[in-house]
Amino acid sequence: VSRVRPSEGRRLRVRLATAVGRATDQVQAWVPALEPREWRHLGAAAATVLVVAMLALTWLPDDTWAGTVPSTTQAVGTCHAYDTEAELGSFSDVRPPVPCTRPHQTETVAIGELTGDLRNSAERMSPEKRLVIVNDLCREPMRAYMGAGPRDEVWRLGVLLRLPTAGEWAAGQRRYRCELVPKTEGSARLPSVAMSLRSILDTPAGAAYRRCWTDDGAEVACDQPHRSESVNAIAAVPAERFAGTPGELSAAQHTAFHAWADRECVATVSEFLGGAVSRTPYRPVARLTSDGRVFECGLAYPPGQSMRSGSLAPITTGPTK
Amino acid sequence: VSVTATKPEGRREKKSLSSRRKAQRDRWLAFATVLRGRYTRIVLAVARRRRTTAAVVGALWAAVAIVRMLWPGPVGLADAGDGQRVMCQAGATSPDPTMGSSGGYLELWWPAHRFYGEACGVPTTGETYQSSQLVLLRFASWLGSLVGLAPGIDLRVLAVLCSLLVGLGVGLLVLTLPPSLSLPMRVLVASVVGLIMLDSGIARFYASPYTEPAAVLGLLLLCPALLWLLRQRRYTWGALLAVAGAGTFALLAKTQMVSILPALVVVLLLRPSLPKHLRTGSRLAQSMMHRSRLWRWLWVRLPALLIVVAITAVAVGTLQSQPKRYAEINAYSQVFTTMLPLSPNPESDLRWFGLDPALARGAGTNIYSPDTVAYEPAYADFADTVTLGKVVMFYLSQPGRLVKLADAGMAGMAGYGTEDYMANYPESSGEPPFARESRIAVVSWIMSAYRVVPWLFAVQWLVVLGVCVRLVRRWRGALPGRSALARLGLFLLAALSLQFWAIMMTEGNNEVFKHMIPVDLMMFLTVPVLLACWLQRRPRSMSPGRDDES
Repeated sequence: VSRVRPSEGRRLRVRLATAVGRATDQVQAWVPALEPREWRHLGAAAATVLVVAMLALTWLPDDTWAGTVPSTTQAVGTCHAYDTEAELGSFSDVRPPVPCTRPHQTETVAIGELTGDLRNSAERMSPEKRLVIVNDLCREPMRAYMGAGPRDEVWRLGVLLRLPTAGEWAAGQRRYRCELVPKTEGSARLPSVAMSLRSILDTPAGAAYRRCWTDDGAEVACDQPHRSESVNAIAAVPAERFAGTPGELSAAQHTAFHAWADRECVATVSEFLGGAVSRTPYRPVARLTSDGRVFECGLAYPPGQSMRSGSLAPITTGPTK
Repeated sequence: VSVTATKPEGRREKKSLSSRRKAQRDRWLAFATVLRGRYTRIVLAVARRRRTTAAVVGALWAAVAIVRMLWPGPVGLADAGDGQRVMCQAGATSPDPTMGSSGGYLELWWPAHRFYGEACGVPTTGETYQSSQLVLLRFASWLGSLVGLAPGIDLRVLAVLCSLLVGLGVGLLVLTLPPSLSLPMRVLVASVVGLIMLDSGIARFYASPYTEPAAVLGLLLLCPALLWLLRQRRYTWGALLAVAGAGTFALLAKTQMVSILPALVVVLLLRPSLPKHLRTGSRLAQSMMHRSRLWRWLWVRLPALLIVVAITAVAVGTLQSQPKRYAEINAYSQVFTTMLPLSPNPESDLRWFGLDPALARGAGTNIYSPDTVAYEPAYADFADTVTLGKVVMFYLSQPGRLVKLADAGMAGMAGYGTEDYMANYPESSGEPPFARESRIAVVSWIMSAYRVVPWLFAVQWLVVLGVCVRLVRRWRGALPGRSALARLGLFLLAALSLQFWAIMMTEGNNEVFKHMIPVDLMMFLTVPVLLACWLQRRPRSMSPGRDDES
């Protein structure tokens, strides 16, 4: 441009002006000839459409139903992965299941049909009602799924009740789903496992879901070094004999308590072992709870031994399915 | 000799000194005259370029807002549990998977997330919560992708968007405040509004996952729209559309914001809106004009009526689609968090509703409290028993309780900006957890007086009412533009009163300071309205057409 001579520059400007003039003429020819009032009407219509379109973004559907799986197609033994607590706690779950060998947050342990008032209600139950009935509907199926006997305590695993979606409920669907949920205290992330927990308590790996105590009374999973193991039995402490919390009892009272309560635990501990505890090197032990009102029965290693990992529960099946 | 010789010299020196001073004074006077002339020219030039000035003032306030939100580091308001329900609809989720705790720091980045089925919505039930905040969130998402951010929502982008809307609102106010105010006065009044909008108690919501930004920005934009509308003898479609758009945007922000609908309807139907040439131009028009007075009244307001019908349909639809779970939570909060703690006899109150008096042990709890009574068998029919109508009847039948409720509400209003469980700073700021920002806190500082005597709100309400009613009566029959400010003041009073009682009759004391933010804002906005009315007290020479558009 800098090398263009002034006369050429003038010609260039004239050409540009001509081109702009032609373009303007073409645009004017393209734009319909409207009266000023019509232009105002057109502007008003455009503004109205714009305002309505902007406000309509409020209702723009966010498609959360693409790729979902109906509740009815879910089966026992399927595993489910979630990223947020909101998804985990939702009434319904229609997210496609994942293979149980992949990290997941829940596993379907039972499927059933609601009955009675729960079934006949026009709307799904409240979240509070759901929490009230979850144990009645799902606790025993979960224990059975994990292979838990009466003396097996299931620890750090919760249970969750899933309901049909609102649409499925309105269509008459009343099928519910029970899911077991691993729990980890003090973790910000949702705890996950990467294997199926079906019959897990019949295997050595089940020790991770049993409750044990260390020498100083701390609760640990039984796959950690521990002194004693819970046998899922509690009983009331007779207040007339031993009144007070563990810290309030004297040494003599402690001795008297264990002399009485450890004997009380013999039956349940034997049941846990599947044979008389007296024929084993282990011993029954009673553990007074913090409020001093009940005691829990456990199976302990002899005092001379160091703490050990793993459960003393008899293994009846092979490795995890 | 020497004495006689020195005298004239001294006089000469004195004379020259005084002449120098005089010359200096003249120079200063000339300089002042020049300055004055230049100032006058600037003012006149600015006055001639009203739109340019409005744009400049708006841009300045937008820039101040952006700086206020992002410098030296970004600030906002962390999620305490209510954010996910709206953010998830825009396809974003909190980086913290746990619900209901902000963790001490503000999470600025909400990554994109694929939700399935009912996982997005009200926690547990999955019902959809509708809010016009989604408009802002979707724009923030698009803007973020435009500047190359990863999919999701960056609260900083949202803050910038809200800041631009603050600038837009302030600029539009400069443009729409009555020309009976000089331009500097209009800039002053609009700047007071800008200062309110950037106060810590309000501005920190701009970078948050809550729905309050849509409510407060909708109310801000509604003010210039109303000023434009109320300056007109006959409402034009443009002004009607502006009021309808901003009003609906504000109304859709939160369920309780629907309460401002009656105030909007009254304003929209205040004056005729049908163009004169359409009033009698057709056979239908002529037949309408020859009918009863009511029919004529309705006919000349036909465009506004259509808008009113549309807004009402939207409002009713919003109320109908309100999540049932929230209706239950609100009823619980009203009875157990608000009514029973304020009651001298909670058992008697529960009997009034037909509930088991044993539930009185739930007084002071909310539905998520560890000691909630929501799991009690006696609670089973609670949601069906306690309705909004019954709550209103309860308070109306006991005026003393109504006063107590008003007192609790005003205490909630005075709690403006005092939330301490929602973090303001991101972790990278170096601030301690839950540190509170107060970059611009003029209103927050003034509110400390209201915290001592919350009934000052009632005094302010009465003062604004008195002034506005007096001005409306004074300018009755005069140019509509004269009374536009006073009518805007009355609209704000009506809307804030409706909103106040809507909150206190539904959720009551539960997180009341947060729910009262729109009420607080409307109360604060009455101050620049009063200021404008005071500045307008002396009639300024002007052409009628500028103050009154017909």
